[in-house]
Amino acid sequence: MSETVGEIPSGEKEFDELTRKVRDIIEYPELSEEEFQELLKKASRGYGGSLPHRTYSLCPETRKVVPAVVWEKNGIVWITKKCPEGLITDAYYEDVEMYYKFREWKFDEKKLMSFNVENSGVNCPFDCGLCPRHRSHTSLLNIVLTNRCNLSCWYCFFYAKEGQPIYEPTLEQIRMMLRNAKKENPIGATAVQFTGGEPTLREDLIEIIRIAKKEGYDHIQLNTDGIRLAFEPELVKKIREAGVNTLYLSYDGMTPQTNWKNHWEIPLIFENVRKAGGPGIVLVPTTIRNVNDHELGAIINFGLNHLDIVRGVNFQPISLVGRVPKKERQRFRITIPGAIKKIEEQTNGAIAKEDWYPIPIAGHIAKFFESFTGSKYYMTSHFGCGAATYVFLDDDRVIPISRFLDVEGFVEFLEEKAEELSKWKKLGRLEKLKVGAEIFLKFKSFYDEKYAPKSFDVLDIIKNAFAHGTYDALGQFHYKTLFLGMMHFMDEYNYDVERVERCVIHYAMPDGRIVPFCTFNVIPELYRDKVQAQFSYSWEEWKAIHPDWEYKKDKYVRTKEFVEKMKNSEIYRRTYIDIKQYF
Amino acid sequence: MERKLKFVELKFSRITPQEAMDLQYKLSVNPATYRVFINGYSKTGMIIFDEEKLSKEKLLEVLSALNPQIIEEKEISIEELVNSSMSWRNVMGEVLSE
Repeated sequence: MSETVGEIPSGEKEFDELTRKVRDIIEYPELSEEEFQELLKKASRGYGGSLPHRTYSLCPETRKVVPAVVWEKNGIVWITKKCPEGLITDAYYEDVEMYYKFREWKFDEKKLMSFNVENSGVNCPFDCGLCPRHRSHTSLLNIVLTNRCNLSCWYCFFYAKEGQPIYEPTLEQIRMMLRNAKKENPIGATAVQFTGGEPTLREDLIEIIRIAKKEGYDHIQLNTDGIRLAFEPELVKKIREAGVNTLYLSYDGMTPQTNWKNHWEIPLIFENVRKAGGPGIVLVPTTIRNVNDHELGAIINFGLNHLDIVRGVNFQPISLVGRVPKKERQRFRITIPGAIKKIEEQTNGAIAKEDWYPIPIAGHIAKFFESFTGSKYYMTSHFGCGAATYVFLDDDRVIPISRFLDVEGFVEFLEEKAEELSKWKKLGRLEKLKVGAEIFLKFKSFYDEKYAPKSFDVLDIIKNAFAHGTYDALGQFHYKTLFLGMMHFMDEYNYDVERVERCVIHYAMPDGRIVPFCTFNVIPELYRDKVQAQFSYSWEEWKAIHPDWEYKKDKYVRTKEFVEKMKNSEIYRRTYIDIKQYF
Repeated sequence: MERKLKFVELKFSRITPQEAMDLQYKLSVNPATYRVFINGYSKTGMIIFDEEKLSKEKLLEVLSALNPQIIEEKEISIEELVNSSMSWRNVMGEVLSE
C-alpha cells in the first residue's frame, strides 16, 4: 500500500489504492414519475410526520429548491426529489426501525426569538441566517479562523493555494461573531469550535481562545489535524491553559493509508496532551463506505485504550458535496444506521443498534437541568442528524450505558421532574440538595446493578452530579466513559430542508450572519466561499501585512526519516501495537 | 477606507414565489451582493450591494422583466450592516414593540 512520504500529505494516492476494491454497494431503488407523484400525494407534512413524508430538497445541478419525499422500501429510508433534469434518489437512513425509534425523541424547542437577517425564511435555504423561521439556537458555533492549512487534501476546495486570497478574520471580527451567537434569544451559544483551514496556524490563537473565554463560552474546542501539536508540546500546554476543553481531532482510521492525515503524528500528539494534562480529545473519523467503514470498531477500541485522554469518538458519515455520480454515491454513501450496524458487527455486538440514542434526547434532559441548575444546554437538532451513546470500560468489559440504565425511562422521569421544578421560582441550596437526593433515590430504580460496571462506582458519579447540580460535577462522568457520537452532515443528494431549519451547529460569518452548517458548506457559492472571498486579503495585501510569512512554511512535509523513526519508536508501539483488544 | 454599500428596497408589480426564489439565488451568487431577499408572496425585495462592483443600472437590468419599483434607496456601511445584524438588535417581541 502506498502512502505519502517526503511531500505535503494530500491523501490522493491512499484514496486511489483504498478504492480499487469495492466491498459492497447500496442498491438504489428506481421510482417512476407516477410513483413519485403518488407518494407525494399521500405524504405526511410537518416535522416528524410518518413515511412517506414530504419535504424540500436541493437540485445538485440547477441549485433549485425542489419537492422531495422521504419514503421507505425494504427497510431503508430513501429521499427522492424531482429536479428539472429528472428524479434523483439517495439513501436517507439505512434502517426504518431506527428512524421511527429516533423520531419518538424529536424535540421542539422554545421558539428562537432572535434573528440576524430580514429574510423571512420563505426562500429557505437561501435565506440564511439566522432567519426568523429558524427553529434552533446555536448549540455549537463554528468560527473559521483561517483558510491557510498545513495539509493539501486532494478533495478540499477550501484551503488557500499559493497565490490565492487569504481569509483570516481579525480579533475584533471574532469577538463580534462570538458575541452575536452568545446573545441569541432566549438561549445563547455556550460552545464554540475554532476551525479552518488549520486553526493552529494562527499565531494569535491563544489570544483568540482567551477572548472566547471572556465572552462567556464554557466549552471551547479546536478542530485540528493536530500536526503542530505533535511537534510543539508548549503549544498544547498553552491552549489548555487558555481554556480549550476539547481537541476535535481528525482521525480517519487505524493505518497510515486510512488515516493518512496524522497516523504518524498521533503518538506525539497523545504524548503532548498527556504531559499537558489536557485538553480532552475527541477523535473524528469521516466515515466512508468501502474506504474506512471496516475500521469503525477498531477506532473505538483505540479510543478505549487511551481513555485517559480520549473523551469520545464522533463519526461523521461522509457528506458527498458537489456533483457526485450515482455509482460513486452507491460506493461511498453511508448513513448513521449503516455506520451503527458496522460498529455492531465489528464489536461483536458489544455496542449494538439498541445502544444508540438520537441527539434531541439531550433536549429532554436539558429541560431538567435548566430547571435544576438554571444552565441551558439544549441540543435540539432534527432527530435524523445525529446519534450518540456512552460506553463504560469495566476492566476488560465494554458496557454501553443502556445495558444497565433504562435511559428512556429515566429521561421521561427527568422530564416530569422538570415540569414540577419549573413551578418553583428559584431553588435554594437546601431545596436543590433535597431534589437531588430524591432524584438519586429514584435513579436507582432505573439502574440495574447486575449489569453495571464493577470496577468503579457509577452511582457515586451520578450522586455527585445531582448533589452539586453543576456542569462540572457531570463532567466527572466523562472521565470514566467514552462518548460515541454520529453526526451526518448533508449534501445535495440527501438534503432535507426540515433538517436545516432545526440545525444547531452554525457558522458565524464576518458579515454578521449566522449560518447552519449544511447551508454554509453545501451551498458555498452563497455562504462559505462567497462571504469569505468578500472578507479576504488578496495575496499581495496579505504578503504586505506579513512580510516574513512564506506559504511553504505553513505546509507540513512528512519526511521518510520521520516515518522510519516513528516506526521504530517505543511511543508508536505503545500507541498502536501494545494495546488491548476489547472486542 | 470603510466600504460603502447601497441598500435598495423594491416593489414588484408581478413576481411569483418561484421566480422570486430563482432571482434571489441568482443575485446572491453575485460577489457584489451582501444581502438579498426577494419575497414572492408580498412581491417585495431588498438588496444590499457594492455599487463599485455592480452598478444600480446593471442590477435594474437584471430585474427589468419583473417591473421593479424602487421604494427606498440609501447608503449603508459594512459596519452598519454588521451592527444591524446582531442578535440583540433583532429580538422578535422587542422589534414588534418598537
